[in-house]
Amino acid sequence: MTDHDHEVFAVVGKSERKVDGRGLVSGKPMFVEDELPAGTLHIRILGSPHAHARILSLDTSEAEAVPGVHCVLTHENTPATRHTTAGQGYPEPSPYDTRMFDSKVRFVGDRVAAVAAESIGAAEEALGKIRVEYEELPAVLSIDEARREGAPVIHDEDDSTGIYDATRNIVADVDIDVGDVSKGFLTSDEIVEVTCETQYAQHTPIEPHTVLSDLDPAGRLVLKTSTQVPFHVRRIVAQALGIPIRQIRVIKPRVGGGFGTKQEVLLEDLAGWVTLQTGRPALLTLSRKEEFVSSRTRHPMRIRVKLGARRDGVLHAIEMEALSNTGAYGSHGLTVLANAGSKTLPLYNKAPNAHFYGQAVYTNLPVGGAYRGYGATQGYFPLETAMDELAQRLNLDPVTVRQRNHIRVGEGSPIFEKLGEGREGVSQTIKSCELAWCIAEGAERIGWFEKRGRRLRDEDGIHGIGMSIMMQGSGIPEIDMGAATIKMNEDGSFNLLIGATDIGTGSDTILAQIAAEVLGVPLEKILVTSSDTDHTPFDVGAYASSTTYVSGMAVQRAAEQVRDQIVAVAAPMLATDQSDLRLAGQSVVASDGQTVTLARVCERAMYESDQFQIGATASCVPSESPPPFLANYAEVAVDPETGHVKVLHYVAAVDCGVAINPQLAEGQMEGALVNGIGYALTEEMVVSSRGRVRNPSLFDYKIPSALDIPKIEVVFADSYEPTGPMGAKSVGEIGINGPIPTIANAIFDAVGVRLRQTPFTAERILAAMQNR
Amino acid sequence: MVETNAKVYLRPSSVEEAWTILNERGERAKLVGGGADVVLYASSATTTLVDLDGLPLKTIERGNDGLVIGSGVTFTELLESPVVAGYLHGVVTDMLRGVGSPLLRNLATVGGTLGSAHPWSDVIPLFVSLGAMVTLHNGTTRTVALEDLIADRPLLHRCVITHVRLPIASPRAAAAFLKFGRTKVDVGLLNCACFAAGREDKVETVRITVGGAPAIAQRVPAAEAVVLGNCLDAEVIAQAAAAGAEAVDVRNDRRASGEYRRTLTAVGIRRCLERIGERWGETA
Amino acid sequence: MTITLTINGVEHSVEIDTEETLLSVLRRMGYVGVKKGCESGDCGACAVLLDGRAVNSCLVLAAKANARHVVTVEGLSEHGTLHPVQQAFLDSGAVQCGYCTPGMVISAVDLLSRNPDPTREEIAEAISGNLCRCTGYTKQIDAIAEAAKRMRSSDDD
Repeated sequence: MTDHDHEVFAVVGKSERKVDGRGLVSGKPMFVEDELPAGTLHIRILGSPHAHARILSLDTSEAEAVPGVHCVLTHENTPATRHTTAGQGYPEPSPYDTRMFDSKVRFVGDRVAAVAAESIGAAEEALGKIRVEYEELPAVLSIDEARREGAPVIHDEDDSTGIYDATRNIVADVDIDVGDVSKGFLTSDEIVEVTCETQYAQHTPIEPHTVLSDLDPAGRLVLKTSTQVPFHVRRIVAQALGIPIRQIRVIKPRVGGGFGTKQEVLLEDLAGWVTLQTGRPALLTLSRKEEFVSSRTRHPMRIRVKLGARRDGVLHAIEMEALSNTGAYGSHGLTVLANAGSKTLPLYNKAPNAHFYGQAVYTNLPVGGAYRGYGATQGYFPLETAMDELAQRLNLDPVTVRQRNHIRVGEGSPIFEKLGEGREGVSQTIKSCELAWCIAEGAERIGWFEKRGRRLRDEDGIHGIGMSIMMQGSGIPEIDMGAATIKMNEDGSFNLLIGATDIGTGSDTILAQIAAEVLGVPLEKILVTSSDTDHTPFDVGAYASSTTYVSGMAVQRAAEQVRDQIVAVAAPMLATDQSDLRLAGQSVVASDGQTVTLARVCERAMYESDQFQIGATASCVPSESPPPFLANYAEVAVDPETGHVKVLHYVAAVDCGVAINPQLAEGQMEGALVNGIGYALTEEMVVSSRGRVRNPSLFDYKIPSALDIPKIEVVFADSYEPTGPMGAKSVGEIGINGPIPTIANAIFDAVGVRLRQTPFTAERILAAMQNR
Repeated sequence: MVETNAKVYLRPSSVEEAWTILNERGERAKLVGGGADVVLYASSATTTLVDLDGLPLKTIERGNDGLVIGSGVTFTELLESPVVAGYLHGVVTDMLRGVGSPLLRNLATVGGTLGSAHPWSDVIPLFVSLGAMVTLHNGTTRTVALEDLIADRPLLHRCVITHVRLPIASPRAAAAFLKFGRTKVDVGLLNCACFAAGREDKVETVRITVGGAPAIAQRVPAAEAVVLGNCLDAEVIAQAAAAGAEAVDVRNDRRASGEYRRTLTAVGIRRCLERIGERWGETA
Repeated sequence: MTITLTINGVEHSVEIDTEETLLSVLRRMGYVGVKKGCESGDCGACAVLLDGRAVNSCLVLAAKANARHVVTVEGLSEHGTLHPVQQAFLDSGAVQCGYCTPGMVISAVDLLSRNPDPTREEIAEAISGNLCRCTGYTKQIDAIAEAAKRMRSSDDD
């Protein structure tokens, strides 16, 4: 535990109730599909039955004749502009390889056509009447097939840009090194090399992608959409439709889960185009099947990690080679690949030699996109299981090996500046790190020293304990920007206008808490409006664990400016110097005890003297990305006859800096952990030999239910990040990275097998045990 | 998503009336129990929906010849019934607890689940092992073994199931059910249901049924033959499990391989028979 | 065809398509608290009480609900006062995106109407048909346990 030189907070650090909670528990209309204007058209999409084919001809005449149909869209009558769907800052580090509709289809479920009609029934009927003539092409259905000499070229068009080498299906290529790993391995006492593979998995937000487009009275396009990235939606839709940004307004209402799949401009251009063509509001929502097949997925990856260490377990050389399957389009392909290394390797900065290289390749399969963890989740699988194996070989405790290797306060890593978001990163020095405490605390709570190696047997099976450590980031330094506007009302309340995107994470609440803290008011005096491109200032959106650290700092700065204005108005009212005043208890307080209420101050400024609107806008571009840290421990039991593994107890000890709202931070961790457990044990999109997803439903793609969770303990370190708002870092993503390596290591402790492929199904575990 | 072209919704007030409609309209008519299977699986050939909700098929009674369950009884009603809980050490209750979730169980009916005969069904393998007898109406009222009914799809799809009777066996009788799933709310990769009855310690009646292999409930006579006439000791149980695993018809599907299902068959049979042995011990 | 539906205590005469689901009818009548998540009975976001029992409204033929009582999440609060389960969800941090919340609250209300002192395992079973991707379920189980406690102590008053 460290001694932090910060004040005791009044609102920050409290588990305040969510500002949108009451409406949500009451079932108020808060999501896109809950309020549809009269005359809303329904859009349905025709998906490709083929993994790879040219569209030779389309006959939509019968479809258009179906009563109630307003338009039928294909590549022949829609804009041809190539863009990326990836919701990233401009210029996006993803290829411009996507058209609204293309003359070629590149995966089963790819867009062929769409119908907008008065009813879903009419739209579906029309879909069935669209005649398409395809020329089937040989399909590429794996990373190896994509890389083979002479493989079919998936993006053979001449108007796509930003692809590393389209002729070889390579979207991205990364290669960075530090020191000399070959020499490093030669001079190591022990070498461990593992290759792991992760599967196709999907986010399964309970609310599918949904957008409602309409025209406002001035004829501007208004897109109400379930998105993580409203400002990127506005810009990319403008680009795709060839209309100015000022002609578009994007509103994000409540979002029923995103987890990365809504960091994508997936449907908005299509819906917007329908509205522009028909003059009518239009609703486009994906069915659950389409959500699985035609939205975005986790990038399946094959990653090889080689560790070279001294006898005392200190790493001397680390090599990571990552191959990523980005599917039919290159959205997030480069950046997820790069993050497999940039969010993992700096953790072990003691090694003077490191090499990260890899490629993201196209395949004729569902499209990978952003998914919580963003490459780090895949990367920690081989890294943290290799570390476990290293410990085993050196006869050292895995906890000891982590303790000897992890990054500490005051240290940096050359990886920070060499590997960023697909290009160079930003150098940084760690200013807060309670990982040592996390490691020790987690070990104690799980009973690490008592239970490990014992292989106790009971009706659940053979018990084992495993651990892992990790870091993530907090925003993208020098690239991400968030802004906030605060204006004051004459009852002493404030409107907080933020671009930041609450997708259920509670960012509206925690950002309001930060403002409330600075302004000396209770939470209910902050009225939040978020994510409306007409009314709120810019924010990149909800990704890269940026909202608390980046948007929060913008809020803090705006609030400080507003505080200064209030103080300037109050000083003559109290006949004292500004330097004598502070804000507390909804008042301005002087050192001699005089007070004036905030309401009174605003009344004066609004109506009485030297009138002006008390308010400010501030922005934040971070210059670093201070990592949160996590130590995971899990106790599992393996049924030795069936291979079925049950996670009994999971401890996550996390350093997220100051937790602005401990209950919400805990909720973020718990949700991420359970998602990670599903990714580790049961979730898998199964693809046929013709590229078709065989289980595109929640019936057959199993995510954890309430009966499937272990006993979960989340504990927060007492930590303070000096560069963060109120001392905060981030907590949104890191939890999902834990379960795979932790459970893999626990399974090894239980039954002595090392698993290299997720998910760890009972069948796989049993096979590994039988082949031992 | 409902895919039917159903335009007519009928609520017959008697079993005979329901049968008449079914008989007239054949393939175009679908019986509605809870209705979930109609919503999920009915085809565009369906034009008539026949709701059995108004029929007096909602009782659970324990008589001298067994537990008689009306086809309109929901899974939840079975789970809440003390009569069912008291039958054969609560084996039906055990099995139902692993079927879906309360949301599904509040809707699904016994008749509906038998009529749909999904290959992953948990109810059917257990009921087959229990020797269930189904009373149905298709012009006349008949009683057939469930095992025979699911093998006779033309009959199954063209009759009105009214009751299921789970027989009461000789004093020493027990059953056990096991399901192997990925999550707790999953259909099984495989399930196994065993029943054994006898007078002293020798087994005189045995039924071993495996379901979801991926095919629907199949009896495993090779395993039954090992057990019949013997005591349920460790050696017999092990041999029965091995024999069953070798003989069972298993296939690969997207959830599991056939070979893994073979392994699960052995484990399932063994654990079920051990449980039955324990239960026999309790009633000694 | 026309059916009679009592929704949150109010009787309605409704024109429906024969094969329409209860979910579809409820949402177009404005009960948008009933959410659409999968339309295959797997996620539970559409759960409502039908004659007091929680069911997936996406699996119920509206025609089947004729002359029966439906309670949706909108019908749980009284005169602006939240139902104890709703309040407990708010207080326990059990709501993140809120999309699964109405269905989960419905399942909890069904449970507590029958079992006023459930174990955590019983609570988990009661909401096992309500999938959530945000919370990891722990706080939802906490919330329902808390609601049960509050409802028991207010019964004692």
